Amino acid sequence: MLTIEGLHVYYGAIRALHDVSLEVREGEVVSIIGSNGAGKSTLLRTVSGLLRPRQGKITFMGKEIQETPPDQIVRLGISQSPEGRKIFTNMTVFENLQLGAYTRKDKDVASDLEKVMDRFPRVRERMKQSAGTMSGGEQQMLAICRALMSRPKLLLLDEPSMGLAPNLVTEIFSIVKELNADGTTILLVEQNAVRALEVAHRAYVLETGDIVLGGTGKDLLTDPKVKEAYLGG
Amino acid sequence: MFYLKRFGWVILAILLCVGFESVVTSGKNFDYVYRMCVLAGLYVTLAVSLNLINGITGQFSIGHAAFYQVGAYITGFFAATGYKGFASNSLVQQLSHIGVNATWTVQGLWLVMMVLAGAAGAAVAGFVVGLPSLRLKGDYLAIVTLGFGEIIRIVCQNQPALGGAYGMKIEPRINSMWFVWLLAILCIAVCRNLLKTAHGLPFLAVREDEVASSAMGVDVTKVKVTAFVIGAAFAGAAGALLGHFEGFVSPPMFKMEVSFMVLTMVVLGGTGSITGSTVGALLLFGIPEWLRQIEDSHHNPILVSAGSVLGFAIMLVAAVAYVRHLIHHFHGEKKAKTQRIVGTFAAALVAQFFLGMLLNLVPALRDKSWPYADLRWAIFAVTLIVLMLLRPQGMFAHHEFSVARFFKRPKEAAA
Ligand SMILES: Nc1ncnc2c1ncn2[C@@H]1O[C@H](COP(=O)(O)OP(=O)(O)OP(=O)(O)O)[C@@H](O)[C@H]1O
Ligand SMILES: [Mg+2]
Repeated sequence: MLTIEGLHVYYGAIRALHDVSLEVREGEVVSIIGSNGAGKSTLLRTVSGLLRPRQGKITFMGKEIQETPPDQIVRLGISQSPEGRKIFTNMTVFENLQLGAYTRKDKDVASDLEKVMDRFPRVRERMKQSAGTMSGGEQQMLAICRALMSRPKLLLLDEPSMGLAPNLVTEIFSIVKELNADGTTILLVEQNAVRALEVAHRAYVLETGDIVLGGTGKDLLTDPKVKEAYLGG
Repeated sequence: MFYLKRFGWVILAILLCVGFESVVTSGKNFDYVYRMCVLAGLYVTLAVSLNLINGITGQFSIGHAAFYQVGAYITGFFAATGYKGFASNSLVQQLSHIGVNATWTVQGLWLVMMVLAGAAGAAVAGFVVGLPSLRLKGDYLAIVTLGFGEIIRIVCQNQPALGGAYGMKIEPRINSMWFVWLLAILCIAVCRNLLKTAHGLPFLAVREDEVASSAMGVDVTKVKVTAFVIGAAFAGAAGALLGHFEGFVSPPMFKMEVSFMVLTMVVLGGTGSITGSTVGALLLFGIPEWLRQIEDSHHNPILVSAGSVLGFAIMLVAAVAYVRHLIHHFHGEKKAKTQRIVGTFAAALVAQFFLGMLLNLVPALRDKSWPYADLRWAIFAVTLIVLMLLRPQGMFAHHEFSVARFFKRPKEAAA
């Protein structure tokens, strides 16, 4: 579904991604793990068009998208819950969700909203609340809901468990599983390597801009190098 | 049904404006009042249209007088070159017999055309100025827009074809207060519809977070440029009306002060609030005019003192809002404790200064030489400082006027 080949991304002179190639197949959950500054968020930002690669090719459902502007990429069916949530804090929860569905002109938006809300009852209770006054965990859920409102074929999640209490982390990952079971393909970036590998069909390890390892989630969980570096030995 | 309702609103707006004009013109010696009402309407249009760029979309643009000038000069240019041909055109001649008064019909048609031309020209200028807004943020964009305003003014001042420093005469003079107010209402309606409907959401989203907006599929480029184009078009339309009302255009009419005045109106009212911009425009236009009038005819010392006290009070509030706004703008949301302490002291000092000045002022009221009008700008500056300290979000913050609000009971915790 998504193929990345030989991707090089720079911030000015700083190299953030070096010759990254990876693949996400339809129906999969693919996780990317790596330490701080490895380039995980950079990768997602490049896929969603917020950054331009210096070199390389990104193909989504047979179409090259490395030059496509971000608003068009959303229309193609990729949507992102960005790092640090980036919800619109001065707007209401409902308005945030409306913006999530901004690219859609079809009539099913209202019924999709209902579906999303059924999955996130905490968000439903707060529809009229100003989004900035929600708790961190609620904001994270809102960010995911908002990304779902565009009815994406591929959902990009950047550290959905960041700053959440353990029980909420569990909740978020079970939601990731449910979403995937309902047919959404997911590319997930996480610090929480154990969870990310558990939920993933396949995973990649990113180290200072290079993909150093790839394999099924299970394989990586038992890989000695991964264990040492990311799973705390 | 939908169109019928909309049509009804348009008719109502026209009737209101025409009614307003006839009330004003029914008075004795209405010239001065009439003039004030026209200018006030133009300022409302300017403030509300700048609010679209500045408040609603969050682009810190401070050269709004430039678009006003473009509109005015376009009319000036066409009036000099095209009006005679237009009036003697056979189609226009035929049309002129439809209305009550042939001259009025011809002039009305011409005015509508000029307003459209001014709006179109200013829209193009807005597009050009809007482009750098894609790359520049905050204070940098402010400098570019300010620079653009000055460039336009200075170019006109040095172009013999545009009348140079003297400016251009505009014939015929067309007084149409109701048309001015109709434009103001149209501007308010357009902005309100943008805010209230789903069309407006992307504008507000861009103000909050550009990256997140584009991640939602909002075309940030288009939104920013659209805001500049619409905002500039209304300012240009206002400029066209100004030109025909004054009967001339000249560079000093579009000095930087005009831009600052309009910006202040927006900030005073509360950036983002249309109600705020409207009220801000009426107050900030009205009060200095009032001070000027006091200078001309201070017969009634009690009225004069009451006037200045009220004026000072309002200006004080404005000043605080302004400075707070700047502090927020340049230092982000959170203020350090020391800053807050310094701010409080500054506010106390300013308050004392004002109090002293007020006391000095009252006896001086009987002194004919007291320069109220000249004081205007000083008052203006200091006021803004004070308002920003007291209420940085402006009078109305993000809120809009709504009748329903008066009937609602306050909730325990506002959502
Ligand atoms: N806007 C930027 N300008 C310059 N350098 C940047 C920018 N954004 C990221 N970088 C650099 O690029 C590298 C990769 O950053 P990125 O945000 O992709 O890391 P990450 O893997 O997501 O890290 P984390 O887990 O901490 O979120 C880092 O060295 C970072 O300092
Ligand atoms: Mg990151």
